[in-house]
Amino acid sequence: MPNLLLLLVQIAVIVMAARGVGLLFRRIHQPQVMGEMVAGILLGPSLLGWAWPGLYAQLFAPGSLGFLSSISQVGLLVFMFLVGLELNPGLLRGRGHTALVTSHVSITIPFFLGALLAVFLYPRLSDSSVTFAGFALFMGAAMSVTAFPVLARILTERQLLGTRVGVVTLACAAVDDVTAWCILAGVVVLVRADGTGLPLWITIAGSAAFVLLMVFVVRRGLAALERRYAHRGGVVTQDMLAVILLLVLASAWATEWLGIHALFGAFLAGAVMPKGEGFVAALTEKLEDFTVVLFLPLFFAFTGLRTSIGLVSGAEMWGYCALIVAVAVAGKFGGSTVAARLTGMPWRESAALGVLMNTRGLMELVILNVGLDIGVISPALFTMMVLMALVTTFMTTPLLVWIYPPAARAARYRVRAPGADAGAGGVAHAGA
Amino acid sequence: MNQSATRSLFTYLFLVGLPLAGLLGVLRAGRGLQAPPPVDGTWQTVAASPGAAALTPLVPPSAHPAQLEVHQSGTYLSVDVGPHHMSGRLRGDSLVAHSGATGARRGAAGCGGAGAMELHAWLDVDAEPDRLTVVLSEPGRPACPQMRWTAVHLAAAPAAKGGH
Repeated sequence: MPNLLLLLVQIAVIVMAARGVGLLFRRIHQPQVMGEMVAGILLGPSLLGWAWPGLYAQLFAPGSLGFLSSISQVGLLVFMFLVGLELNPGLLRGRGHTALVTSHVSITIPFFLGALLAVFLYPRLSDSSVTFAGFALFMGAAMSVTAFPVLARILTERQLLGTRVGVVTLACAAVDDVTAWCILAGVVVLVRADGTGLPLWITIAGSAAFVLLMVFVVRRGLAALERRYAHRGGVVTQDMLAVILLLVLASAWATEWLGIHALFGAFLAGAVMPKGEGFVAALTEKLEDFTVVLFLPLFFAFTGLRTSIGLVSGAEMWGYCALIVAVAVAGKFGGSTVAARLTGMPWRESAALGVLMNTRGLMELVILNVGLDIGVISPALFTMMVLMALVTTFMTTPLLVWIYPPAARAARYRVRAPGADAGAGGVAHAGA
Repeated sequence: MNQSATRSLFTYLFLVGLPLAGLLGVLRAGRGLQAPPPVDGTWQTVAASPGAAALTPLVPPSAHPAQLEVHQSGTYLSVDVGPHHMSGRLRGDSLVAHSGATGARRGAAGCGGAGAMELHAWLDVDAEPDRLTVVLSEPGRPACPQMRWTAVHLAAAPAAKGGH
């Protein structure tokens, strides 16, 4: 049985820290989520555990963390559902070859560089219980992810959502995320194949069959749900919400049972939801605030509890950390910028796109936690990659302001964005 | 096909095809890489080595039989044995770890406690389960006996689940 009093105190401390530090970061024009990620780390062994070990041991006693972890995982499932829900295949339509080329290049180049980095890191920071292929593919996937949710928020805050840069960036980030998750599913299967669980062929065949079931069968059933929503005058009732949440849980259970992690199921459930603007907005409104205010800080705190900056000790290890950051920036910023430029985008806009694609934020933390859970990365490497996620997310806003200030945005690049009613403010189309 | 589309096509083939080819090369080349053996987890003492000093001077009775907790990140280790927390490296099949003396009792009389400790261990991966031959000593106090014992690998450390 959980110690309920302790659990309530833990949740309260985490939420207060998240809001407080988030507010500080908003003051320096950083996204709220950046502050929440930092708050999670400050509550862990890196600061609280180091400065006040007695308080830390009482507040986050090892025996109590299982309940916190479980709650944060359930919250993360809901969040991943929302991420899948916000992904709209229509984002790529009509965006031309720039979006297509840039989105694929923004995966392949950081993926290759991540795998190349693995050649250096594997003999130093891994062990022989992990195959090189699994390690390299994971590093590649971790390097190629972009924080689609954080990106959407930054674009909204910087009023870029209606611009060509914003639209292309969102499209590329959406493709990146879906691809990175698919690759990560493969890595999870590969790494877990040597351990307990289902035979590999069942995992692969079962996963493929499950995806087909969700896309071609469940999705049709969900269309009926959207019709019901419209029939009810644009209201998502509690019964509808219950059905959707049950679907999320069932999908998460299925993918966890198949051996490719519950998060994929939740993401897939969101991805196959109908994408009618009103329906998506209504669902998001029902779930987002509670998820973002309560569950995400719990996940950030749990990540922070697993992040011990003290593990990165000595010039050598800090050198590895710097190398990871450098490779991450070179792959994402460099690859995206060059690809956008070569497809005809002006240098300034290409660089702005590269800066935005370099934002890793929350999605990176999710992937890293999966990697630590399945044992493909060590605690020290996990810490280094978390620091990389923070650095790359932190640098986005100031670099964007420097490279692409409001005065530099020419009116002729403003185009109507898909889902422009989602808080972006519709912008009149002026011709591309 | 217009010029812009042609340029995009060549850009795509170059910037997507080349990294993918490179990735295959990396995966192929990496097959020969050697990572350190896994030593992460709990090592349970099975026997003091013949002729070894008693465990008691350096490990409190409540810790008998002595367990070693190893937290590994590749060749970088942190080792907990009894009250001692050490950091070190794994080189080949040997571990070396050190802890510094804690300030309050630096120079205090008596073996063990908060003095600087040194741990050497040799891994035998051919044994089933893996075995570790451990020597724990206080380098600054030659009068203090060394501890020697053998330990077997039990399980991975819980650190990955909930932090250190």
